[in-house]
Parts: sequence; structure tokens; C-alpha cells
Amino acid sequence: MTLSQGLPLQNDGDADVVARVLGGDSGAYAILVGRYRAQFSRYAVRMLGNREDAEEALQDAFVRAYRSLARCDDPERFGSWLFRILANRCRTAGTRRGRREKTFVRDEIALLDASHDHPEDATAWREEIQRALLMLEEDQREAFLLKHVEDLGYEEMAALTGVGVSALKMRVKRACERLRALLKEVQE
Amino acid sequence: MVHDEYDPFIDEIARELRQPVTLDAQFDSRVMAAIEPAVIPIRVHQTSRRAWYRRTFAFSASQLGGMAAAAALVGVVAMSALREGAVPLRDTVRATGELQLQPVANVTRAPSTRLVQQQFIIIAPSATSMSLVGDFNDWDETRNPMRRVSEDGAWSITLPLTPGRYEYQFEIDGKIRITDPTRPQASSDFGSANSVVTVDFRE
Repeated sequence: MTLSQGLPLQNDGDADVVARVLGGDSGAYAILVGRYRAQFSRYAVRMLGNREDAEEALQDAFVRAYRSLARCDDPERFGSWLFRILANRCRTAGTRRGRREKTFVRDEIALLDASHDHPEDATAWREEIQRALLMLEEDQREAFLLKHVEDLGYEEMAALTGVGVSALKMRVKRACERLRALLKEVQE
Repeated sequence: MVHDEYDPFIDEIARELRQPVTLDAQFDSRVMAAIEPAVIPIRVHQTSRRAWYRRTFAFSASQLGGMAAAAALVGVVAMSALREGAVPLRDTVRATGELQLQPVANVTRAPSTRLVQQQFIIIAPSATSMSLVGDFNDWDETRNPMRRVSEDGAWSITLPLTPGRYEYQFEIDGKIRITDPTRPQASSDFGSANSVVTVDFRE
């Protein structure tokens, strides 16, 4: 199994699990859910800003992937394929949510983070970061998370998103500039 | 040209955002429960067919509930591959924008792993696009676009489905969803009607 700081887009043995599921062992799908849940959930939470929407998008992605599993052309790269589905679900959810009033509850941030030893200041700072992140354009937020949080290279980002490398670099650059401006205000 | 340069401020932000998050402890169970009633996505090349006949039903726009959007559908004729026992057309046209569709997990697990080729047909001469949406494709209109197969506006698609019960609708021009007038209907979770087809295993 590939272990990295970033997204686990490929795991040894995924093709075997996919074959088991396609062979009728639907319970084996739980292996794939377990493999990809953790880091994909982080991406979804950061993209959508709250756990409820993130869980909904992630569950939807897993279910859609299951139902379309026979169309997964490269089971070895199930993770990449699943991530593309998740990214689309996050965009859809983000668009839908954009029509609602955006609310951000401080307690939600504390709840989201698995670490429990953060002092109040650290929690507040993370809240400000997430708030600033949500103020970015959706495509900029996506590019920033893939590049700086999930540690993907631009070529891989391009393959995942279908967007050209130059455009992705520009999105990341603008996201960084915007975040810097937003968060510098908080710090001052 | 955009160059990446190390930026300690951005790195600090990224480090915070890399903190793991926790999901509901029941998340995995919920996912597995959600897929259990679904169609088994088995990749099987062996399929079966049987002869079927077509019936033609005509209806006018006035029967479609009087929605403005339905006016464009005057003369739409629906024709479905399949079985007798069709029910009368009901007011089933709805504006897509009003729908908040979710998968209807009412497809029972098929006892067989074999796929059956199931054809869906509708005649809509004035339509410019047609999609089949149902619980077999998560009501996603992008996944099963139908093909115009005749001069008189017949649209068709054939899907390999595992035996079971499915609910579905046709989506016209990406705007309007209607039921199949040749099939029984069931109430959806949203208070509207869906067409129902039961796919049987056929030797």
C-alpha cells in the first residue's frame, strides 16, 4: 500500500478487490471504503467546509463508484477514478450550497479536527484558515488543496481535473495570493 | 509563467489544513448499507434476450399538467418496449429545477448475476435531446443519453440490467421529466410518480 502525505490515489491490490466486487462479493467493497475514507474525507471537508456536506459527498462518491465499477477501466488506479467522482460531487455540492446562506460554526471546526490538544488560539487560527479557504473561488480552492495540502504534482492534478497545467498553476497562484491577503488581515 | 516558490506562510496554512478530520463512526456502515440494495455491478458478457413487442400510446400536451414547459411536447408519443398492462398517463411532468433527486434504493438484489438487455423507447419529435434517468444511474441525466433512431422522433437506449425492479423517467431537453405511459407507476420519495419496470431473467 502506498503511504504518502497526500492523496492515496493508488493502492496495491485495488485491482484484486475490484475484481472480487465485480465477481459478486459486494462486501469486499468495504476494503476500498476503508482505504480511501480518511484522506478523501479530509479533502471533502476542506472543500465544503463542514462535515455533514463532506460525508454526503463522500458517501455519494463511494456509492456512485460502486454502481459504475464495471466501467472502471483501470482498477489499479481505482483511487484516482474515485477521486474524480468525489471532486465532481464536491463541485456539485459546492454549487448547491452556494445558493444557501453560508454559515460557519466555530464548534464545527473543533469537532472536525481529530487532534484534541490544540489550544484555543490554534483552533481559532484553523477556523480562520478554513473560513478564508471557503472565500476562494471553487476552482482555486480545489487547485490549492490538491497542490499544497494533498501534495500532488501539477501533471497529476491535470490528469485528475482535466484542466491544463498552466491554468492550474495560475489558480494555485491566485489562491495563495488571496489566502495571504485574507489571513494577513486576521493576523494584523 | 507561474513559478512555485517556497512560501513559509502558505506552508503554515497547508500544514493546518493537513490535520486529519474525523467522520461519523458509522460512515463505513452507511456506505455499505447504501450499496447493498443496489444493482450488483457485475461485469458479465453473457446476456439474454427474448422477443418483445411494442405498443404505441399517444397523448397530448393538455394531459401533461398544463405546465408551460410542456407545451413544446405537443404530439409527443411514447412507445415502450415491453409488456402489456400499461396504465393511463398521469400528470407526471415536472420542472427539473424543482427536483432534489436522490437514488431510490428499491432495487432488490438479483438472484442471478446475468444481465438482461432492456430497451427503453420514447417518441418525442420536437425534443432535441433525451436522457433516461432512474435508480440504475442515480437519476443522473448525463449517464444514459438516448439516441434518436427514427425520422419520426423515436429515441432509444438499451441498458444491460441485472434482474430486479427499477424506477425511471425520461428527461426531455434537460428540462422536463416525464414518466413512461406504457408502464406502471410508483410514488417516489418526493411525492411524484416514477415509471416502474421489472426486469426478469430470461432464458
